Amino acid sequence: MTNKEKYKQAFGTLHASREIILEDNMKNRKYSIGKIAVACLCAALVLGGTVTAFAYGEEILSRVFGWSNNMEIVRQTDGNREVRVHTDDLTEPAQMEDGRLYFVVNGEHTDITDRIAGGKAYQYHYTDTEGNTHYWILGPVGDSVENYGYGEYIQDPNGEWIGGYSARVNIHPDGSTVEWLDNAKAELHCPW
Amino acid sequence: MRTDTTVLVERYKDNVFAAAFSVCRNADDAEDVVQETFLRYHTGNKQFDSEQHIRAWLLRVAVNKAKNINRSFWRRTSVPLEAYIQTLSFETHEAESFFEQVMKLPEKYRMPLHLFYYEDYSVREIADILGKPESTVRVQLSRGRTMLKNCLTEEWNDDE
Repeated sequence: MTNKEKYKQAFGTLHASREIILEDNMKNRKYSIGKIAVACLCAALVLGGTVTAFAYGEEILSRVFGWSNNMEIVRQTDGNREVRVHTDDLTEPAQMEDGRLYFVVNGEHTDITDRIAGGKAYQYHYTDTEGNTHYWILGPVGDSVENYGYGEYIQDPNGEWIGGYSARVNIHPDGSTVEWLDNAKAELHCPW
Repeated sequence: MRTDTTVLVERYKDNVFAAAFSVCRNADDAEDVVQETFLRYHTGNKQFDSEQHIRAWLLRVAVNKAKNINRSFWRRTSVPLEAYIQTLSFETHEAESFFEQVMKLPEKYRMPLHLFYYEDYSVREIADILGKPESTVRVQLSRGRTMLKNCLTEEWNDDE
């Protein structure tokens, strides 16, 4: 038997078993919508409704969540393909001190109060021990500086975007968010 | 040209699944990839030169989607590969052993081997599907074969 024949004999046992669902528009993507609804609901419940998680389809959904701040995604496949999100010791990237907002990720303690005034974004990045680069983007979402939103997006050593999420920013149906976040992501060529 | 999606699903669903599985090493993720790959074809309007062009496109999309899944946290609670292998019906014990050894190879060697031996693609076609230089594919094929030869010894023929 040739190597090709052996290979085909071995891998010929693999068969897709799930029915393929084909719909012709986003609204009727039953498969994707079910997962998105469950994932967003779980995320909101676990994180007190402060995390904004949105996706058009499974591909984007799987990238919405990252592993910063001890957040972990767990997928249970019991036929209904339920998705559970749980987090442990979620840490805010900034904190108020004496009326000023300080960025506190990665051991930093930077006063960013004036930097996000007027609808501007504060950006910070660092590379972790696995070689992944974390990009943080913070900006205002209200009149007070303590009302800020943020996003964190992760790039692997090869430059591939592999994770990220945003919090306390409204996400519109077309995927756009606040201008400072969208502009910052565009500068980074972040695809979400 | 475009071929009806249901026809393509019937013809290539298992090919796409096998390719995705070779990357993911997980049946649930591979099923997701199959679903998304055909859905993407169905909802797009890309034109193709031939059905072979479509098949190569399907596999390219599937491999890329599978690689993205590999980088995400979806896989943390997946069914272990060993447990899934027990559910498969191999014709012979040697076939099962062969399967296990291939799945132990690093992904960068598994994919070129899969596309060469299972899908009968040439080095050039594999390079196009994987988005890599032909020279890289040749090296990966060679190294993958060497690793399989070391594991399978008499069960692997020298075919370089």
